Amino acid sequence: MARILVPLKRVPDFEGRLALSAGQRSIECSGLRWIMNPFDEIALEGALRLRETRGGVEEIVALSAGGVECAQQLRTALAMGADRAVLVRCESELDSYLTAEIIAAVYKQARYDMVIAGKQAVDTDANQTGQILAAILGVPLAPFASAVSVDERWSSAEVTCEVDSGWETLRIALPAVITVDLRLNEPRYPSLPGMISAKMKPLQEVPLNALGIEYGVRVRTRSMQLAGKQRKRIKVETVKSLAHVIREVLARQEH
Amino acid sequence: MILVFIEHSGPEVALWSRSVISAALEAKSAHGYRRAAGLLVGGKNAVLAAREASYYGLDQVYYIDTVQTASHPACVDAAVLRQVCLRLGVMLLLAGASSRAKSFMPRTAHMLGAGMVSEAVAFLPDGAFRRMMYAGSAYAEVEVLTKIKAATIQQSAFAAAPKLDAGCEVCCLDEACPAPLQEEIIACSSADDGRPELRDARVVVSGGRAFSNAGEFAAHVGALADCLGAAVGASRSAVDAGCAPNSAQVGQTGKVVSPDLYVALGISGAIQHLAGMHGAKTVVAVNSDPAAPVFEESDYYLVGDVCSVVPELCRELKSI
Ligand SMILES: Cc1cc2nc3c(=O)[nH]c(=O)nc-3n(C[C@H](O)[C@H](O)[C@H](O)COP(=O)(O)OP(=O)(O)OC[C@H]3O[C@@H](n4cnc5c(N)ncnc54)[C@H](O)[C@@H]3O)c2cc1C
Repeated sequence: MARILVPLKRVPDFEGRLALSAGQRSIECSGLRWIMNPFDEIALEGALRLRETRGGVEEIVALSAGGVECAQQLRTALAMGADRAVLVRCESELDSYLTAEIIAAVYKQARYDMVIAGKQAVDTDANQTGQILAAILGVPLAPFASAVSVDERWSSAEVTCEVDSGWETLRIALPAVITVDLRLNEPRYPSLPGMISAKMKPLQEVPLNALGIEYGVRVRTRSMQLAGKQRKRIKVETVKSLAHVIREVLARQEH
Repeated sequence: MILVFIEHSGPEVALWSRSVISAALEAKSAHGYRRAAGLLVGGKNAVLAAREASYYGLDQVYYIDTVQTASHPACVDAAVLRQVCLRLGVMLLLAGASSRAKSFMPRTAHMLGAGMVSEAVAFLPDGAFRRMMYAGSAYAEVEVLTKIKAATIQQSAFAAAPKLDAGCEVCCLDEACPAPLQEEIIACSSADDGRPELRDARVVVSGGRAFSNAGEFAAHVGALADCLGAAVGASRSAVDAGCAPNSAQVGQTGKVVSPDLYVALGISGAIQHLAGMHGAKTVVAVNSDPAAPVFEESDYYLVGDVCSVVPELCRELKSI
């Protein structure tokens, strides 16, 4: 029977309302709504569907690292259908490397057949954790998945990965790390019975040092600034003048 | 020294790799490295592309021509690059933000004990990097705390390195391909539509959810693109609706483009889409909603129905 580990991150839903904190080192968090990173939600849905369609899944474990508030997103994962959750407590900023080390440490506590994660977190946009994790564990990697199929014995997988020129299908042996792209699936909403049973499912808290990991990042954010390009915002009234504008812009660039 | 992973298609250096070479030359002076070299990995075309790459201002170009298949899995690059970095004593490893580099760079960086910056846009004089976060809404200054460092480069932030009259030395490395392979490519598509590469294109015409199917999308977005010699892009919604292939998606989680002209047709202007078009010099938008957020991010905009505007626009453009 297979075990699947789904790491997930709590991220702000910041659409259009980003402000910086007083020290300019991070964003201002008050007043923001917090959600499960959308890509991680897709990864979890991918794991649930493998259980429903392929079968042979013993356990789907959701994992998050951060403050106590991350329990909220883990409860959502349990409500969607994960069997248990692990919260690795760490109050300091994590980078992709340390996040991958944490996932690797939890992975080593049980025998997992697959780690399936989002390809990037929509706050830091780094797109590194899954790749680093594969390197730490020394297992195959299938990044940016838009389709995943697993053989009956859970010994190998075929994963269609999005690449610049279209797609390529990788065959990998399991255990492996898969990171998912937007088009793998559309995640379900937690059902009411799901939300009720989530309260009963185990959510285990583990301090970082209990995993034998010392705090140590490789990349540190020291300051932030809001970006914004001022565009001209000139309204054009007719298609004819739009054509002229386009011709002028292109002629200017040729010089 | 700095090593740039240079990508090539056939015997030609990818345009985005020339932006990475520019970035390397900037890093060389801003961060104080003595040398900047390039590396190409491939089959028989590697040497041809390496010769071309030698003309863009690097101090040396290396190539490996024993990695036979055109589309070898990224685990090969990860392992080969690690070996080369150790052998040459590389302290800063750079690559573009292609899907391939995104796949192998964090792995290689980890194997070297290096911290990595994703999609750097600048090298600060004190050794830090600048990059974007939150779908392009914020810049962050980041420090890499490891001795060996790695970064992918946001192509839109660096102009392609110009070709010089003289080239540098080109040298073959005999690194062996690792075995056994962890990943095997068993099938792939090539979505070549005969138009310019989206990331490299000087003009991009993108379509959004205003188009209800692939036929309508092609008849408008495709037609205007061909009229302007442009690449075709799409919003996520247009891709989800089957109007355009995944590889055409522009945005936070799609491709970041940096054309002279970006034309947005029937796109609302969600922050995730804007993240992919920040680098455009001029933005033109057409939308039927006078309050469409995309207008805020446009230089020129027209309120109108794309289905009538685009055919007329094509006619006008041809008549000028
Ligand atoms: C995790 C995540 C990642 C994402 N990544 C991306 C990404 O990389 N790229 C991306 O694009 N999106 C991305 N999105 C989606 C993004 O949030 C928006 O949903 C999407 O960009 C909207 O696409 P659209 O503008 O085509 O569609 P809509 O928002 O539906 O807008 C359609 C627009 O067309 C206009 N319109 C309709 N009919 C006509 C007509 N006949 N003539 C003229 N105008 C018309 C409407 O006024 C409207 O403004 C992401 C979302 C999430 C959650």
